[in-house]
Amino acid sequence: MTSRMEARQVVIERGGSRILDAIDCELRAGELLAIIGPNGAGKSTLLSAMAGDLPLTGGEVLLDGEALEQRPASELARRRAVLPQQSSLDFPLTVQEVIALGRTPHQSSPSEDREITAHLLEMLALGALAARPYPRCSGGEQRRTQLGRVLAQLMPLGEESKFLLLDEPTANLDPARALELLDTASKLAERGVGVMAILHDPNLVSRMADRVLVLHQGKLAASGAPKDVLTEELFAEVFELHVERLEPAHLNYPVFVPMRGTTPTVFEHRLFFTPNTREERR
Amino acid sequence: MAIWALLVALVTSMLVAAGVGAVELDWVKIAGLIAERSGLYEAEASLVERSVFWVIRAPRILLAILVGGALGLSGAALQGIFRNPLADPGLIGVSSGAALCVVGAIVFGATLSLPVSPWFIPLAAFIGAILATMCVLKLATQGSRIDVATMLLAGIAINALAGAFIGFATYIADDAQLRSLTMWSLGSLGGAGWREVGLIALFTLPGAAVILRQRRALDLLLLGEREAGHLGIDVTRTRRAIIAACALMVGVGVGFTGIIGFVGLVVPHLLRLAGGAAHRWVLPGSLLGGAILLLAADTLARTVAAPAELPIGVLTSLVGAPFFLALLLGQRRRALA
Repeated sequence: MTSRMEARQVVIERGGSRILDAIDCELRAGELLAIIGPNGAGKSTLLSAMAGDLPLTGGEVLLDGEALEQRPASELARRRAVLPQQSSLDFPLTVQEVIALGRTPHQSSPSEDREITAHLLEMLALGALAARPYPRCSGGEQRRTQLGRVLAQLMPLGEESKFLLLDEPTANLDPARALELLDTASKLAERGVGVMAILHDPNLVSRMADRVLVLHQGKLAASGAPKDVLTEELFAEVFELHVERLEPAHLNYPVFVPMRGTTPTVFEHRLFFTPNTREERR
Repeated sequence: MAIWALLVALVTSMLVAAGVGAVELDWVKIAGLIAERSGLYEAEASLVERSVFWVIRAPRILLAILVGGALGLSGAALQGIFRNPLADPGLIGVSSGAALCVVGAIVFGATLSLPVSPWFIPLAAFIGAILATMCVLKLATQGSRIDVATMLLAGIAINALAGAFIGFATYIADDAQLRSLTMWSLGSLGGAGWREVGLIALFTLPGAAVILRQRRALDLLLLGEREAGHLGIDVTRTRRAIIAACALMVGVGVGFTGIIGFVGLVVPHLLRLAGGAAHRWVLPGSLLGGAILLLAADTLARTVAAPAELPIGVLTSLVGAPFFLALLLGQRRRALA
């Protein structure tokens, strides 16, 4: 059986409202799992629950069949990394120092740590910024630095199966950078890492993800391979959006073009037509 | 490298501090007096010079180094766990919490028939400091982040409360108590003897060791508490250890010397400007820097208006308060940008 992280029947309530309602979610080593859903569907909460950050109202989160809290903190730190949606670091640690902090859980030698850090700096095109204080970097550079930190945490790949949880990793990234990031994620998956990412762009999901899990109002709406799950009906129902699903002959994945929302916009309301249009006043 | 520069600066300021005053000693004489202790060498020094050095100046210098180092190091560590460069033991109420308990102990100690011992004041100061720190941390924590405005306001409240209580205690104190209160509250490194130095070292050195060991954890805490947790740090335990160590060091220092503000604010900030925010640099640097700053301030305080002596707390606040305002403005400008 492949190594995996699982959420089983996870329920999370906060302030009396149910944010996650009996969710089952499985992240297998070696796959790229996308989580999608409209705003407020509980995506980030699910990710936090999988990371072990939140007290569960019900259910359990398991790593290789054993409850997360029963695993030693050091093992968890070596095997599972989390890229948060945003990080506030106001102190002038340099880009290189931030990435090197990812090595904390490892007992590797300083020279090995330096080698890994240097490699990541180069891979993420941060070499020229190595000595720049993190707060002085642009938003995109900061995100790449944080990505470098979580990658440093998971290195070296291969010995034990590793898991990477990405909370909206493509937010604030331009299309090229977003694609680049997901490319990195899918390469990691190829090398055995279980990657879970909250995403918004259906085209990226369709192209890059092995599986997709759709959340809607705290419940699981659908899950499976992107080309089976992402249908025009699903978008209408869950996202209140009419999309056109195209299947170009030269691509092996469907693409989606958003057309319009299913609910009338404010401009279609009768108030915008009756009293103000000239014809009607006459 | 830079740490060595700080060490050299510390030794230089120790030599200067040992030399200047009503009885001037040059460094050859100082070196001679120290070498004499080995028993192999006899220095050419008068009895007055000997006793000025060994009875007055040496313990005072060591006291300044211990207390200044403790203040600098606690400032750096508190700024790390609060994730804000504005945290300072004086500003957020740690020092006045300690002061409150010390004053309470001086005035009400006899009434409550508490045992009188040299341990008594440091213990009271420690309890006050730790209560104040926990109060501020509790009040300022909202969910997983720490609200800076609340932190500073809580500090103001604790400072005000301590001020009121100290005023009240002064009002009801009898003559003898009043004298020890006044002596204490002026905040001075004078009157330090070897016994005080030993006692403070007993508390400060272990506290400093605890904090210096947490340098990596403090770096991780800068990333955020959740992030530190994901990297395997037990955040609650780390925070508790650091708070206890800071309260111990600041509390005991305040117990002997009164409130000395702003050292913990100024020193770590300058060090971060000079060499970045990594705690393997900021922590030992703040220890040395705090020692240098307080020693220099004390030397200035006792020479600038000799034979009178300025209260050292006044001097550090005079320099530190404008510095704090500048920092606050800088932070606001960054927030607006």
